[in-house]
Amino acid sequence: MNAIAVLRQTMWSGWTDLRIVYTPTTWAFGWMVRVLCQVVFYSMLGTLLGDPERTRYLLVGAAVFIAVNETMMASASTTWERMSGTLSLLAAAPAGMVTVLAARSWFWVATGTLSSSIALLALAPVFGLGLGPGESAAAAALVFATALANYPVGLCCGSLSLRFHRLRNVFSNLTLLTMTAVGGVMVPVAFWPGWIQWFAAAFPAVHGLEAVRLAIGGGAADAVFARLGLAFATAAAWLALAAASLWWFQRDARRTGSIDFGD
Amino acid sequence: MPAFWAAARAQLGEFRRDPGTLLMLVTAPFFAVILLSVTEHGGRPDLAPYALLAPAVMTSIGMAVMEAGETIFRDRSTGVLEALLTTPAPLAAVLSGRIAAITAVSLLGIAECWLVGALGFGIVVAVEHPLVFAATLLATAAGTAATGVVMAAVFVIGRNVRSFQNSLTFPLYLLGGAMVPVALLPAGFEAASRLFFLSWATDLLRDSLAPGPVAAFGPRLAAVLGLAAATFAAGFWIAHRLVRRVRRTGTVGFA
Repeated sequence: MNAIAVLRQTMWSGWTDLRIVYTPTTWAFGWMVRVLCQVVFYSMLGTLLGDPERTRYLLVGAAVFIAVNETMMASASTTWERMSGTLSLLAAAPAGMVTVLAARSWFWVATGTLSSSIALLALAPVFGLGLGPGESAAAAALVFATALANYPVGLCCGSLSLRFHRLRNVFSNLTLLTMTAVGGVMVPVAFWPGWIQWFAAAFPAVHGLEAVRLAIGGGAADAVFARLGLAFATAAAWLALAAASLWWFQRDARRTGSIDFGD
Repeated sequence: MPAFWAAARAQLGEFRRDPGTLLMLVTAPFFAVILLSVTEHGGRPDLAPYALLAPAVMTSIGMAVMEAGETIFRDRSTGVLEALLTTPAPLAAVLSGRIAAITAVSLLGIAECWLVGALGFGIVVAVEHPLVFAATLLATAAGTAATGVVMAAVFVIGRNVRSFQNSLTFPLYLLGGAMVPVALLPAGFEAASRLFFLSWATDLLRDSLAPGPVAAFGPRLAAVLGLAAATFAAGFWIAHRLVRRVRRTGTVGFA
């Protein structure tokens, strides 16, 4: 019961954080303009290469990875407790900080799903990707699954950011760009040497994106679900890693008394 | 001028103290890998110079915009901004110094991206017209710094414009033709992009890497320089106006 109460409070706190990050105006005219420009930027590579098929490939990859991009922001938002001075209170509270830190950034999953789906569905007709209502709904649902599965990766970066506060954006950006480079976002994973392909398979978002591609490319349902299974299986491993890392941070910070002096 | 150099030195110190401010230089090689993988996989080795130039340009303009904003916000939160406004040195001179230092450091991205091509993919991009390249690069650096000054000046007005700071990079990459020449953009966007110095600069930089002759070099360089000068003028004017405004309203620290 206590865990549920903690979660409820945490979710509420996340919601208020989100309202500080964006107003409807800054979201629509700031963030969404950037999102659309980013997806167009990458899709135009296909135009430059003069290959409509590649344009569509780039569009889907870039649009779905907006959701991944936003969930990586959990890396920075995990450290907001430190900035607001609540981290030491959390360390002292009997509920512990692991659940709170793990759940506080949930809102990125929601906004990531929203902006990514809007980018994909709005730009699809512009770049000649025909999506029916069923495919659109499946794509949005799978984008949500991808965001959810990538969230633990963002948390892992967040647990590092708590220790190395100034590098909070470095961890998340490097992880995101590594996934973007090798994860079948711009070019198929098969373009890379075998060992890189294995490395790429460790990231949930790579499987999530593949599931989206299968679903809108008319792939069989069981193939889509198999990919989704892989996404959540790897996500579970990342979640365990994130929880262990956060727990370790809590223990270490309490033992050394360094919680507010970590910078 | 002393304010300019002092500000430049302060900014270099900032880079040393907080390596997080050099994020864009860390991400540049990743963008090079990403863009180069697309052109290589597409079987277009002729576009490799595009793919290696783009991340360098993105790093430069991205750093100018992001770090220019950060500078103002850091100064505001540490109370430095208020102190700055009480000194006789014009804010625009201080901003120019800081952003000139940022832009100079950001040019390291060119070497990084070239190395990614050479070491990672075995693609050595040659500069076919070194003089054109060097002249355009200098003009581009001036324009980039000017863009940074405009952004920093706008950020003087208050905290609430900060949420737009993160959103500026990709629109600028797109309108600046960082990777894809603006000629491939829809007509309306292309016309708008021609008011931005970077669209002229990136076209010229790409031409300087290609073996063919560079057409109309003089007028195109003049366009880069003219637009850069206009951007500087706009930045100085905005800084002047907004400084007057926050002085009158007394909201330097609270805005």
